[in-house]
Amino acid sequence: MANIQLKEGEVTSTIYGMIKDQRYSEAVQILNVQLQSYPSSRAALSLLGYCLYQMQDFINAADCYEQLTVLHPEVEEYRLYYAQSLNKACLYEEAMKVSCQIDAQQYSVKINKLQASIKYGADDLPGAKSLVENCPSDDPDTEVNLGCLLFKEGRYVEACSKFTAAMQVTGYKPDLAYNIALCHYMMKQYSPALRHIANVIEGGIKEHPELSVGMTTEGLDVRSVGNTLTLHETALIEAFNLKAAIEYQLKNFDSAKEALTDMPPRSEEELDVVTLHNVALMNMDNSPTAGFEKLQFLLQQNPFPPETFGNLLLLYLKYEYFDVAADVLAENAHLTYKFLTPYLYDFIEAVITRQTSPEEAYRKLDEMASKQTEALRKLTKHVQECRINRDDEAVKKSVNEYDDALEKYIPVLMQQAKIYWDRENYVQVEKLFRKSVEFCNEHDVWKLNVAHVLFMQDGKWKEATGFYEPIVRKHYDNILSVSAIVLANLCVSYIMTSANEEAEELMRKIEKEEEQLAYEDPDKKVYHLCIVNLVIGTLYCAKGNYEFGISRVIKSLEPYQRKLGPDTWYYAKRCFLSLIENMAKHMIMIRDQVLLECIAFLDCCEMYGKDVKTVTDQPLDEPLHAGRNTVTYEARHLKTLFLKLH
Amino acid sequence: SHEQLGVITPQFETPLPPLQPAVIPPQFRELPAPSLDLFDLDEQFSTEKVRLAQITNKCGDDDLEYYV
Repeated sequence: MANIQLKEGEVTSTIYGMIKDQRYSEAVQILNVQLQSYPSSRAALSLLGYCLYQMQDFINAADCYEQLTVLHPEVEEYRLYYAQSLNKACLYEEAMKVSCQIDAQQYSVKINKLQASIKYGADDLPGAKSLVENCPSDDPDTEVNLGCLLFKEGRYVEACSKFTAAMQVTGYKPDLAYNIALCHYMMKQYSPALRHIANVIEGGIKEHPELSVGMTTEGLDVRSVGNTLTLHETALIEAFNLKAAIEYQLKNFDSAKEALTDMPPRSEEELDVVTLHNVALMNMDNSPTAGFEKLQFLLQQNPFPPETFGNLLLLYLKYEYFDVAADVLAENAHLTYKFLTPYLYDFIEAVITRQTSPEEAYRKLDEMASKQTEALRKLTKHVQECRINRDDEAVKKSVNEYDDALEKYIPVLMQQAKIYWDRENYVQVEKLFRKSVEFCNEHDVWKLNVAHVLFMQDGKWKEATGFYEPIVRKHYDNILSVSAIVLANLCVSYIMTSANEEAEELMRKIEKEEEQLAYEDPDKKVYHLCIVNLVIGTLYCAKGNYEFGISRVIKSLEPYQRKLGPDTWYYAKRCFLSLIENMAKHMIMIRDQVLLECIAFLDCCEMYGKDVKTVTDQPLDEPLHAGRNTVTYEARHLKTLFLKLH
Repeated sequence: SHEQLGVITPQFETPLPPLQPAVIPPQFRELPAPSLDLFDLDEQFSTEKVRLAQITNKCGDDDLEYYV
């Protein structure tokens, strides 16, 4: 492609032919070559500017038009295009300056519109508003722009009606349909939002099959379609990002990912900041390292999606990079006010503080918690009032508000409780939970943690059963969807209250479901029964009954290829280490037969554990030593210890 | 670090505030894209020799002074 030969006499038809076929990048290449020979060629610069604008390469387009304004100051269009390109490149100050230099009367309407758009882009909403109000009111564009302003003010109902009204005048337009969908999304009305999105996508597929919608999801390796003006006009990128956002909010994470891969294909360098952000966010589970890289990169871009900053900080907390979070927060103090709500800022700061000064963190969290509980009380009252007035719509709205407030309160409460939990002060944790029962007694995480804290206090097995049991019963038809530790702790609680029958029944049920799963997918690793046995085995070891405990542990990991994983190995080896320690101190005697079983077991772990890591690599750290970080290595090590003792 | 073997401590759940996906904000109506100027590119991008020949052809006797 680099050496397209231009035939004498066919230059015009060749280049204009390319433009007609939208082969802009080829045209740009030829024009750039020509520009080297004729650096001040009006034709070359004008066509180049045109093509670059079509390719959405606004910075370089602005460059071309700037040169044209110097070479041909008499052509006002070039000044307009220059300002337009600067605006699209988000260089708002420069765009405004250039737009003020255009003085031809015939452009005054256009300039007014452009300047309104510049102010809007620069987030100067009052400025944009006063300019839009000067625009002719019979122009549907004015309606749309007013809609955008209302949207930014959070007045989504009114914004939505503006967009709808504009569409009634202009007929169906994908960007307007997208705007309407967006308003519904902001109001959490996901089904009308999805309906409008479906229209945008269907329209895009029908009008532009060349944009390869859905091909990447199908597994086809398709060439980038580039960021053309055509793509922009279809609003497909907007629609697919919104679809992904809705699915993500609904916790349909696979569908969210799929919406992103359904998008017309572009290479990673070509991705807009919103898409890049969502790709990072929605693939954090399977590629956290790349996700962190993308989000860190975005923070250097201007502008970046406002969600980036808060999400990056929360993800640092999730992966326990508290120091990194503290650094990023300190380095970007100028971003905190703009991009973090006071709630989020206080929360992040408190969690970071927990590492260095738990007391200080507790104080901060307590302050937050009282603010949140006050809000919850007010909302409770409000819900009741709405119920008395029999205003269904208002009830629905206030219940939603209550749920939102509760979702803000729970993280604060749990961070507070965690401070006591880490100190093994379970009595205090229980106290905190008792205080919060009026708000939280229906909340799943709250119920789960209450169960855990009762479980950890010796002698409260009965109460623990009372909290674990409903969780398990709720999912009895799909018991593997309950986390293994819940099942295990319920079994332990049964055993400790001499309800062995119940424990056995539950274990049979788990075994049956695992067998079913093994039949459907023989290679899939399932750990539930294994963890239940490990927890029970550990319990017996902890009570000093090593022979029975260890035999449970050994049995739990069969068959090894399905049961050996970082977590199961971690709990198995704890029991062996404890056994070894007690043997070394001559605290216990173990029959030879049991020791031989232990060694045979470790041999098996050695054999099947070559590819099983003992510690999962952390996304921001150097990978651990590949040889040492295996079950094989550690099993061999344990075996040596046994042989030394024997 | 060393501690006595006890029951397995379950993981205490500390949910974080939800992460937020990004969406593209509604855009102001745009001015139409720059229009396509029309040029005779064969004339503009021809080599010097060809251009000289072209000018030569165009010139009549009256243009002699300019040509030289």
